[in-house]
Amino acid sequence: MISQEDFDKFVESYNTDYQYLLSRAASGSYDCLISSFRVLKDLYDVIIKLHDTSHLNFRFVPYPLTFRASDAFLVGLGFNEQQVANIYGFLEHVKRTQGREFEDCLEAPDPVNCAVAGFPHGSS
Amino acid sequence: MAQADIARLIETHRDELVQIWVQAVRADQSIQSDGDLSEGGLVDHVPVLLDEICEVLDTGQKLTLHNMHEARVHAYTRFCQGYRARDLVREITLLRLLLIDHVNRTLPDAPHLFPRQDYFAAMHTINLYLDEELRYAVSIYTEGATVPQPIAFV
Repeated sequence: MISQEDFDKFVESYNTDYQYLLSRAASGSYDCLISSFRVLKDLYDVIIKLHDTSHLNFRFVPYPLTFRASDAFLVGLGFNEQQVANIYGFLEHVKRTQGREFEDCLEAPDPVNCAVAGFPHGSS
Repeated sequence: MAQADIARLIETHRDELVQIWVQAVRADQSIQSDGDLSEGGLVDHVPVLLDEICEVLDTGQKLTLHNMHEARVHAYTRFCQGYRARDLVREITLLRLLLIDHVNRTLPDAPHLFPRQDYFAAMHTINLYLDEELRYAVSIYTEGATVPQPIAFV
């Protein structure tokens, strides 16, 4: 059974990764980001499941994963107009390079191939 | 008709429903936390939350942790905005009543086209979704969590 202290560390670690990945999206650095978000989503699912089915508490709140980012949420996280535009740009980038929505990429069982910014996987 | 048709009844009136909900929240004297919020801040993630509800209805999925992401975003955002927990409960109540009233008002009065069990199944889904949001909100409001730092300033 996982202890509260370990769970806290787990959430903090997830939050650190979340900050890093979203900051990368906000700066327009999209390369291979989708693969990283898939790992992050798995971590998030574990955190929510553990919390939901045990006596563990949220002494640190995990940043919520959203598939449909809204201005209100992103501005609330402290991003400016340009950074928010870059995050929306990432969602467009996923659609263009993977041929499906971000949500579908994260939920799909098949592996996602890395795509260099602006280009579909495999193109040179 | 089926649950997917109820999803469309909500989807096609989404922005109008959000506006009515904003007015209801502003008019509710028991809600104090909205005073400091702009229109955008109050509307927040609600349109996206409605999209997710519609998707669950449309696909006939059971509610799981995988299709309630936007509900958690809404609760989280209110927590970060300093919204009082009881005000969040009240605004969710207003949203719940608005959705139920809207569906009742716009559903065709034709039981042969729309079986009662489909209507109740849709109402169960909407209620469960909003209750799960509240359940999550109770956790983050009461378990001693601190408000996370804005990412852009980390």
